[in-house]
Amino acid sequence: MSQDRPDIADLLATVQEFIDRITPKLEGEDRYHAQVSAYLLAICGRETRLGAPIAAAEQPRLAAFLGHDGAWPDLVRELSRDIRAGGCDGRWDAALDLVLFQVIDKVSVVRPDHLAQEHRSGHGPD
Amino acid sequence: MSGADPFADIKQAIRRRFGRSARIENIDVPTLGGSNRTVIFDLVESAGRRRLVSRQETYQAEDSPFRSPAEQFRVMRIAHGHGFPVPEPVFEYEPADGAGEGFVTGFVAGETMPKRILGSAEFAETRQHLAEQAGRLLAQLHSVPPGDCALLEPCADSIDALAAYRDRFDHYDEAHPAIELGLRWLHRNRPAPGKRVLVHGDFRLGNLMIGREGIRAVLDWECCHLGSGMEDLGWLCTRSWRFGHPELPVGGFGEKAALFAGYEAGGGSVDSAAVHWWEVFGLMRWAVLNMMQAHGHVLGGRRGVVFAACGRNTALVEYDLLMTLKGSYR
Repeated sequence: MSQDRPDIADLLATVQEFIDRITPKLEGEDRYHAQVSAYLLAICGRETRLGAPIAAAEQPRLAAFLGHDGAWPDLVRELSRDIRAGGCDGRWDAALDLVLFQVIDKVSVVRPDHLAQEHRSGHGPD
Repeated sequence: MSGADPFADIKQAIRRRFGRSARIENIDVPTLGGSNRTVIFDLVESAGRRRLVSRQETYQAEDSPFRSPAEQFRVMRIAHGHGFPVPEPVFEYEPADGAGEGFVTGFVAGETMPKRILGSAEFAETRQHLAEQAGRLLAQLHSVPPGDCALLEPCADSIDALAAYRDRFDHYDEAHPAIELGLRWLHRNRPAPGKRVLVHGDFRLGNLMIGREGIRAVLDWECCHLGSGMEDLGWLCTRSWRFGHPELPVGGFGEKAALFAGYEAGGGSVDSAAVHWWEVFGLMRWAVLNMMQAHGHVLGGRRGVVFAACGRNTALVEYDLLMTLKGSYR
């Protein structure tokens, strides 16, 4: 689908500039909510850039760990059930690293500066 | 009367208890957010003037994990009766007040904002003693006879806190392998149940009224229940409550040795492995509570930017949880 100018990054930046301009004029709860809105908008910006490649990388990792192919939501549910039932107790460290990969990906979109330095490249745990 | 007086309910409740000539002045409505309406005011009556705080519940999810205002009020009264620093319970709203569920307590002046307590030079001296003082206070709270708080026995957190949070997590019906790993680790490493005590359940900066001399009052009793005292110590050390100072494990202001020394000086006995277990529990719990806010936002009809942000912030807590399980974070 092609769209006319401005592109999505520009739209987000434009709304961001507006929020930044009005935030100092606000007080109390409205000001706080404006700051949180800017935070949410920054998440949207990162998700439009990183969302597709992250989703593409996650599915094969999960499929390899579980030993069969499947749609991503089904695989995540299966992994969750496995962990609960004790099915990952025998390969705990591998499960921990697999899930850490997934969570680093989420945090890279939500708030990358929350990650420890070694995880900020967008790659998984060593 | 013309126009709607937003404080008519409080005024009516005051007149019902303190006489028709009683009035309220210097009304302040702090913007605290959350699911409570807070109003601070002077009660003026023949006996004199005193500053009070009204807290009214504005939102109650059918699956709320929190104690009702009536239960909070009763527990605050018990704690107050034992000399624990809690805002003095004054009265509870009744249906005839038309003020919904809530209560009025004495006002305690001070600072609750974690950033100011941890960052301001004004509190530099205060911070030196805060961990030790927190330990002493928790020991005092945990010495309240649990039999006095039998009203808390039926709540899910008193019966089995881990099962309570697993059930809440399941209710939100969203696959989170990180939370599953936390639940599994907690299940496999569960400490033997220690002494059963009154647990505050949310003892951390933000809920502590701080003055230069230290903790003046412990607020927000909506998570109180019966259980292990180590839960309060662990929650205070949970990484999410260090407010930008992760190197200081006790609330972002102190070392565990100081917290534990204060607890033992106050007559308590510390099981440090259990405290660590409750820290992991705290991360799991905080992740689930963030999911709860997102659930209320997406499906519960209680929408807002803060609740939306909580949903996405679940991932940040999951990250801390996994890094703690790996031994990378302490």
